[in-house]
Amino acid sequence: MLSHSQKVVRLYRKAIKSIRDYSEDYDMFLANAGDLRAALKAGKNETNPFHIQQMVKQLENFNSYWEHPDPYIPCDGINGTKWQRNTAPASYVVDPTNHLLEGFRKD
Amino acid sequence: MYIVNLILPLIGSIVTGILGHKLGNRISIQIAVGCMMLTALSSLYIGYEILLCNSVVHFKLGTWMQVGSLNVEYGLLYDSLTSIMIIVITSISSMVHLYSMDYMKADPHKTRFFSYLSLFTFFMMLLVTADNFVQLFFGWEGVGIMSYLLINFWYTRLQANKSALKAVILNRFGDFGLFFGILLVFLVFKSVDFSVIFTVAPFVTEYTINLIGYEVNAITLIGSFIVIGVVGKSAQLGLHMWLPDAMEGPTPVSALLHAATMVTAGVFLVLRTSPLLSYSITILNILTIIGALTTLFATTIGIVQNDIKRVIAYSTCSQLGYMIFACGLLNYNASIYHLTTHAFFKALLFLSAGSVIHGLNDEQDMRKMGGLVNLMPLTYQCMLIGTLALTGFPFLSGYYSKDIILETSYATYYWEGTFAAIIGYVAAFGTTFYSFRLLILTFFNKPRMSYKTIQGVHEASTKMVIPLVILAICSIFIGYITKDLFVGLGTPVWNNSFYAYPYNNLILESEVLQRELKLLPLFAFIYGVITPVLFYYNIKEARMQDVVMTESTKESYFFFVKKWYFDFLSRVLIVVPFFHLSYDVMNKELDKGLWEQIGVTGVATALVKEFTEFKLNNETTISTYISYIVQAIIMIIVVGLFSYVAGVIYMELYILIGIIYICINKPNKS
Repeated sequence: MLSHSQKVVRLYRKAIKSIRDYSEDYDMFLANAGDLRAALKAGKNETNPFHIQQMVKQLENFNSYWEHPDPYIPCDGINGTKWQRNTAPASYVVDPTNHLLEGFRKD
Repeated sequence: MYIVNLILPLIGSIVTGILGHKLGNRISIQIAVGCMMLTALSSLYIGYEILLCNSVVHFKLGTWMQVGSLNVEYGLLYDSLTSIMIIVITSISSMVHLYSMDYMKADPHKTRFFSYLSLFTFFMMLLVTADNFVQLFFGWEGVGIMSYLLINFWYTRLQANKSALKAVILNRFGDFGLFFGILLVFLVFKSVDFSVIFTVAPFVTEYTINLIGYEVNAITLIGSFIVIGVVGKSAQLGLHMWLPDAMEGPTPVSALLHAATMVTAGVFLVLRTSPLLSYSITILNILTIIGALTTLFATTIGIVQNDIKRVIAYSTCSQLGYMIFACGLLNYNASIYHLTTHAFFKALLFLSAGSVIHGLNDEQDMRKMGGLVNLMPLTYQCMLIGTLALTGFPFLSGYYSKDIILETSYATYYWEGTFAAIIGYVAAFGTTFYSFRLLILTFFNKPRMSYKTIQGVHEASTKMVIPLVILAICSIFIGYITKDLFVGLGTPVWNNSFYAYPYNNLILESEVLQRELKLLPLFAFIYGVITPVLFYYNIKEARMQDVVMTESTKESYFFFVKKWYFDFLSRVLIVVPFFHLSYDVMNKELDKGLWEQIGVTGVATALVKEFTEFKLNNETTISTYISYIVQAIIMIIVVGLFSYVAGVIYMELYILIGIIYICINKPNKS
């Protein structure tokens, strides 16, 4: 069960990522991210629960409307272009304790 | 020298693959690169002998198999088509080998990489030098397998595994088609040798094969299966899904296989079998339509891609469509001309992209690039030259080859040619748009990558720059230098390499087209440059809160980003039903279900169960069994005597008495 601030932070992060996915220019990203932050800050001190619910709903609608079909994934991140590349072999293959008895018995 | 030219890549592959750990990385890789360079030089000399001195070489090395009327020999055919192909293959491969020395420097498995690259080159050369279908098929399969191994080079990566499997399975569909085509060729011609087939082809144009009660023209049927092979290997519409996913492999693999060599194997097959396929108008029309649709399809998707390698991959798919529809319009020399120029500038684009990726710590998404024009100037210049060549900037190589295809397509007298030409002109605009979009996003405007990445940005090293510069020079001059050699009127180069329709005067017809049509590619280029420049100049003021995307606009964008939903549809309509059929029905219900029940295991299990039940529930004693045996003997003697007296044997009487006896003496279960 998420608290209200956790929920808002997650929605905000998702919105910022959607803006990043659509922004092919840095100034465009800054402007739109600034607009989003200003909108959230404007409602920071709101106390009316109905208005708060409305603002959260607006943010959710923004996220669902602007969800990108091809989101950016960092190359080192999970499912990125470098993910699982040249991973180390499984430890049981190279763990020397598995080979303690080799050469010990005289056959 | 011809055999040495063929064997050197194989030697390089064996030395690097098997002796790599003995000789050490440095020496084995240098041997592989050296072998490749020697191969490229010998290919240039072979090209001089065959193209310029006009001496075709064809020799047999021995018998492979002789079974009944099937006689397959090891043979090498070096004609004009082969010599052009080996020049392209070996020169691009040697550049990629040299480039990979630094690109793959940090990889722990680089010897395996070079081994695979050299082995791929060997198989590709085997494909193009084959003088019969079986040897060609051997090379065809070999390049498919090497493609799998190279895409799956980083085999610990799950996505690479999936992409490699996708490539090999979709290629397998094509291989199946080609295999059936070869079988039909043998059925009709009783030989698999090109020299026999192409000589006899004009005399079997009316030959038909009975297929499920219908009489189908033999050459059309053979051509249909060969076209399936072409569609699979050259990533045409329908079996194209593997090409963008093949970008999972290292960038040199994409430059060699998926731009310049392997994907052109399909085009080569059409050119090689042109003396056969040209006798079927149906097949030519199919090639034209498939090529044109592929061009349009790939261009629309390339416009919305964000991965730098995928943009270039879709560009490759689109240009392959040009080559295929040029073949469909009997414009074989324009097709091979575009194949040659395309190989150079596409390899240049891929290697430049690799230089960018290498400099940005393996970042491939263009949304996280930008501002590199001053940080990587040489890479930018090479990429610009490649882009200008691709988009048909006047007097670079792509200008000559692409324009000749567009003009001759328009000059045809039938609707397929006009259809292909219109799509070609539209795709020319699209090509310019996404190529300059790539340049702008990668090199211009403010950097969008992290501070740490910017700190580490570096220009490519010497061994990576030399191939870029050589390919850039080739991209500029190859088109102009070889124009008359390839598509000049009355050129003596081609001879019997591919079919020459005596009434084919498309080149002459294209000379007298309207002036505006000749300028149309130039206008497409200008608009294709202006549009992204204006778009990205004005994008700074774009506010998402002011944008109201209609549902149709959003769906259109999703449609193109999701690649026309081809992957989704093929998964839902083909993969999932066949998987359900093969696993749930065939495996679980039949193999492990019904066949087990009625087969040996089922019968044995049922018998064991019955016997065990009988054994555990049995209350009859031995004396009772002895009495049963004695009664049975008495019954046999009585019925036997009765039969002896009556003179006949009443088998039914035995059975009847037995049943009555069992019913009377039923064992009690209490």
